[in-house]
Amino acid sequence: MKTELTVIGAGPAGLCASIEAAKNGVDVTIIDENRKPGGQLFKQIHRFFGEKEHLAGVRGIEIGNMLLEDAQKYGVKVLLNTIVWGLFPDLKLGISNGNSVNILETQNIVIATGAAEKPLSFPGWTLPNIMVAGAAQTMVNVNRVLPGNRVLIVGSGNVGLIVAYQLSQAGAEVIALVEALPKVSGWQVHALKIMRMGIPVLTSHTITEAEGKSYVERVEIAKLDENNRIIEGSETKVNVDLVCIAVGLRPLAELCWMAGLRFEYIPELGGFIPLHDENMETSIKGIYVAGDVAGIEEASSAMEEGKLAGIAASVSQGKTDKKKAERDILETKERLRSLRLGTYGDYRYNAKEKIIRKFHEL
Amino acid sequence: MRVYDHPILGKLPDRKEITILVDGKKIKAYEDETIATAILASGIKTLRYTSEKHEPRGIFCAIGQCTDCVMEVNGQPNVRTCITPVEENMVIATQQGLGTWRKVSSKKK
Amino acid sequence: MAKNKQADVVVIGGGAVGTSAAYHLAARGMSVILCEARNIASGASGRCGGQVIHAFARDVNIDKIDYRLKVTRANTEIYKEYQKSFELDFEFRQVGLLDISITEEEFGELERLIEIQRSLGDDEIKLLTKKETLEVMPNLNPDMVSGSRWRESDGNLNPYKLCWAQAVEAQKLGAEILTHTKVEDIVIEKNRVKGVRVKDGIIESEYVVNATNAWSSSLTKGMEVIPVREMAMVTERLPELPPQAFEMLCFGDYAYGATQTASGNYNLGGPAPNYPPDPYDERIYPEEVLRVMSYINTIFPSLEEVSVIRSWVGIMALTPDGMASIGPMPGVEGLFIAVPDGAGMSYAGITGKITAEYICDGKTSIPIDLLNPGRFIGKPKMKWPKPYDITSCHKFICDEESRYKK
Repeated sequence: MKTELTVIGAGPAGLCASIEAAKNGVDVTIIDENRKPGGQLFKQIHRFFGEKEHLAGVRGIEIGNMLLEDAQKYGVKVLLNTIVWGLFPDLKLGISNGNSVNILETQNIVIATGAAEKPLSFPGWTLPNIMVAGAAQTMVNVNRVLPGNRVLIVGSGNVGLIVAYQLSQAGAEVIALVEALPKVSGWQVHALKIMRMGIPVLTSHTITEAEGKSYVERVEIAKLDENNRIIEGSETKVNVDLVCIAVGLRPLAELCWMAGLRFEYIPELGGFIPLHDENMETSIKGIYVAGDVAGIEEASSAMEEGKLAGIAASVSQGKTDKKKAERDILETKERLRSLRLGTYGDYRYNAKEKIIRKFHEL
Repeated sequence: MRVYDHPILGKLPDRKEITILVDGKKIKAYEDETIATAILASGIKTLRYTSEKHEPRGIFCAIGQCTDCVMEVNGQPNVRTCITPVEENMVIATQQGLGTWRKVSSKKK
Repeated sequence: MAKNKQADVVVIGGGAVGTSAAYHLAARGMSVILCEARNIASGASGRCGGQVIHAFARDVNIDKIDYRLKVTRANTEIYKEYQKSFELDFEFRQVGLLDISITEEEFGELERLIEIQRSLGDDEIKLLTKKETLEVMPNLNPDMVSGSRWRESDGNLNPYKLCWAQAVEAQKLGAEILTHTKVEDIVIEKNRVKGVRVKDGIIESEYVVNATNAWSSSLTKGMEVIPVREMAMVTERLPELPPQAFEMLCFGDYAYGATQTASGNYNLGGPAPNYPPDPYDERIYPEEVLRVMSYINTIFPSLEEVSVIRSWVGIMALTPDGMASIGPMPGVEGLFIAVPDGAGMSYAGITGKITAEYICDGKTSIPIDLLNPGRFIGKPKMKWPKPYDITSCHKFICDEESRYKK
C-alpha cells in the first residue's frame, strides 16, 4: 500500500491537514482507530469562542460535520477502524483493521493523534464511576447516557468547567467543583456560567478519598493551605455517584517516540512535546505534528496547526507553488497568533516559540 | 440513565433496538452504540475485576485509551467496550482478572 | 558532573552484568561509580527474553559443558541469594526449558547432543518424545514438534527488573550510578588504567570494568565481539499457561523462543530477519514484526487471537569462539572485561561476583582461564558471515572453531 501523505488521527488537526493537502492535489490517506472521524469534536456541543475566522459561535459538533464534508469533497481517503500500530524507519506504517495487517509506505506523515486526559490518584480513585471528565462528556453528549446524578468535578480548567455545565444541562446535579489552586484556572466566561447556575467552585480544595462498595458513593474533600497541605479538620464527606477528574491532558505521542523524534519537556503544554519547526515539521524530515500531540491547546489552534502541516506537506510534495504556499502559511500563522493572545494565550505562545527555538538548536 | 431529551441536542433519534446478553441477562441496546454505553444505560457500572486484588473497574476514559473498561465479548477477553459497537445477541461477560481465553488452556501450576 | 570524581572502580555499562559488578564490588567495600550511556537496562539487558539457561548446548563448545554448567549453576545460586535479600523482586522462576526440534532430523540432532552432554557429566538434561513434549506444553502446534530437550532447573526472570534490583542494592551500598553518562574512552597510561573519559572530564579510578557487551570492542582494543540483532515482542497479559519456556532448535528456520513472564505477558523473540547496514540499529522494521508474528502463529496457534502490545530489537553480542570473555585484559593493568557470550541472564550474577573477587582478592572462586578476553589478540580477524543472524553465526563459529582452538 502506498500514498503520498498519511495523516494519523481524524480529529480537528488531522482533518484540517488532510483537507489542506488534498486541496493542493496531494494524494492523502487519513487513518483513525475509531469508528467515526472527528476526534473529540463531536462531544464539544458548546459554541467556540474567538474570531469569526476561527468559527466562533459554531458548536464543535457542527465544525466536525463541516470538516468531514470538506474532506470528502477534496477526495481524502478515510480509513476508519484502523490502528496504526507502528511508525517504522523510512516512513513505513504498520496498520491493521482487525481483519488484515498491512504496511503502508508514504512520503509524508502528519501525526495528529491528539491527547488523553491525565488521571489523578487518591485512595479509592479506581472505583467505577470515577472517570476523567472527557469520559463523562462523551457518555452524555455523544452516547446520550448520563453516568451519574450527583457529581463532583475535580479541576477547574476549561474541561472541568465545561463538563460541569454540560452535565447540569443534561439533568445531573453538580455538587461542587474542587480546585487545588487558589483561583479558577479556566476561562472566566466558562466559570461565570457555572457560578450563575449556583454550582459552588471550591478553590484551595482537593479530593482526599473516595469510598463505595461497587462504585463511588462518597468522597471526602478538604481545604488546602498555601503550601498545598491539607488543613486538618477541614475534611468533609459528600455523597456523590460520579466523580469527574479534569486535571489536564497529555499528548498521545507514542508514535512520535517510536519514530525517534526529538522531544523537550514543556510542562505548560502537557509534558514531553515533539520538537518541530515553524511549519510543524519534526526532527525527522517528512514527519509533521499538529494539534494536541504537538502541545495541549484547544480545537481552534489544532485546526490551524493542521492547516500549516498540510500546506508544508504540499510544498514538500511539490504540489503547490511557493508564492501561494507562503501566502497561505502567513495567513494561517496570523490566525494562530491571534488565538494565542492574552491571559490564556501568552503562555502558550511563549511555550510554542520555545519548541521552535529548541528545534533550531538541534 | 439515557438522556432522551437534551436542551441542545434535542430528542434522541429513533434507532433500531437490539438485545445483548450481559452475564446471561438480556439487556436492551440500540444499534450502533458502544457496549459500554448500553451497559451503563442499564445501570451496571462494574465492567471487570482486577486480577490480583479483585477490585471493580468501570469506564474511565471512554475513548479507547486506558483499557479500564475491557470485558469478555463473544468469548474474547480484553475487548475495549467503550469503542466497540454492540451487535444483536452479543454475549458479554464481566471480565475476571485476565479473563478466560477460548484457545489458550489455563492449567494451573 | 563527572568532573573531579574518583572511585576505586569505574564500571562501564548499566546492564545486568554492569549493575551486578557494581553491586558485588560495593558489597566488598569498594567505592564504585557506574557509567551508563543511556539508562539502566537500555541495551540488550532490557530487550531480551529473560531466559536463564544452564549451558544451552549446541555444538559450539559442547565439550566444555561441565565448566559452563558449573558457572551457570553458580549464577542461579546467586539469584536465589538475591531473592532472599533484595528489596525488589525480579521474578526469577525456575520453570524449566524445552528446546524443541521440529523435524525428525532435528530430533536426531538432539539425541546426538544429549549423548555428548551425558557423557560429559550433564545428568540433568532429558530427551522428551513428541508426546512428552506436548504434555509439558500442550499449546504447541503438534505439527511443529518432533521432540525436545528438557532441563528442569532452567527458567526466566524479568531482565529489566534484575538490572534495577542490582542497581538499587548497589546504590544502598554506596555505589554511585551515573546514567546518561557516555564513556568516550578508557584512559590508559603506561599500560595501567587511570580512569575513564566522559563528556565533561575524567573520572579517575584504579580499576575499570568494561561491561558494555556488544559495544565492548569499541572501548577495548583486542576484544572481539560481533553484534547480533535480535527482536522480541510481548503480548497482552494472559492467564497462566503450563509454565514452560520454550526455545526452537537454532539449526532450523524457526529459531525462536517464548516465555510467559510472571505478570502473564508472553515474551516472544528470535533473530531479527531484516539486515540494516548498521548492525547496531536498534530500530525494529515492520517486515520483522510481520514475519515473526506469522512464525509464532505457526508454532503457537493458540496465541492467534492474542494481541501483541510491544515489539523491539536488541543487540546481543557473540564472541568468535562462543565462550564468554570474563577476566583481566592482558597488557592493561586494572582493566577487567565482563562480557558474557549472548547469555547475559545466565551469567550476570556470577560475572559480577567473579569481577569483585578478582579485583579484591586477585583470584576467583571459579577458574576463568577459559574466558580470557585476550585470547583473540594476534589471531586473524574473523570475517563474520552476513547477515549477522544467530543461526548463521552459530554455524560459522562451529565451522571455524578449530581455527580458534589453535
